[in-house]
Amino acid sequence: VSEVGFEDVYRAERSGLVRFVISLGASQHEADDAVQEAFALAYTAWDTIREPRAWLHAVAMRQYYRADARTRETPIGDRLAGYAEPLNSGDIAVFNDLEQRVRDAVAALPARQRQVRALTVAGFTAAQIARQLGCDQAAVRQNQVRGHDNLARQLGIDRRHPK
Amino acid sequence: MTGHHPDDASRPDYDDAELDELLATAMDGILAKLEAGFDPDTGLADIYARCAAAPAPSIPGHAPGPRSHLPAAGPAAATARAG
Repeated sequence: VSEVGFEDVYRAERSGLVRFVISLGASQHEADDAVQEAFALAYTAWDTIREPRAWLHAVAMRQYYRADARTRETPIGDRLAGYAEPLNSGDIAVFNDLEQRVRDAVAALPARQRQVRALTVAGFTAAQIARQLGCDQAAVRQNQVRGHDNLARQLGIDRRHPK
Repeated sequence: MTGHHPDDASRPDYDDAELDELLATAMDGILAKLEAGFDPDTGLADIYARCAAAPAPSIPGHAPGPRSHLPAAGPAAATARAG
């Protein structure tokens, strides 16, 4: 494994990936863990990965959903026994009013709109998003528009200069 | 970002740029708080420790696209790492 290339990609892409997973609805700990898992898997396959950025986003999303599903299926007592110390173990962040409203609005989106929005913000084209999600581009564009409309409605954004 | 038609009465009225700016500002603030104090070297050490603790995933050899050569990170691998 070429650690130099891998570590360069880690330093360049990690923050964006954390942002991406949080945009899917993850907590800080969930996002950290999904991203670290994605990079760990990438490291073991590094020489075979042709598009690291797309690969990492796909795997981080999958890791988050798998961990989320396991959490829902695990009894609370067992969860405590398997609890891992957060990687970024400092104080829990306190968000201002706008940040909390945006988090709540994103969390309230239907899952598909959230996925499309997160991938759009991460810079992927409609074609790339369609490939990632296994749907067609028309569905991607429809979810982009609906997600945007839903967020605007929830955040109380009014059109100021529509003409 | 999404480009609304002014005449489309079925859509809510809002300014795309204002919404995008608001969302970007909020996400920048959220990420700055979450990432404050994060050390990339510690993150890399965590990755290498996860790799050392887990069995190597099986990777299909000559797959044509990024989706088709994703590693098979099944529940067994995840369980091994969690333990």
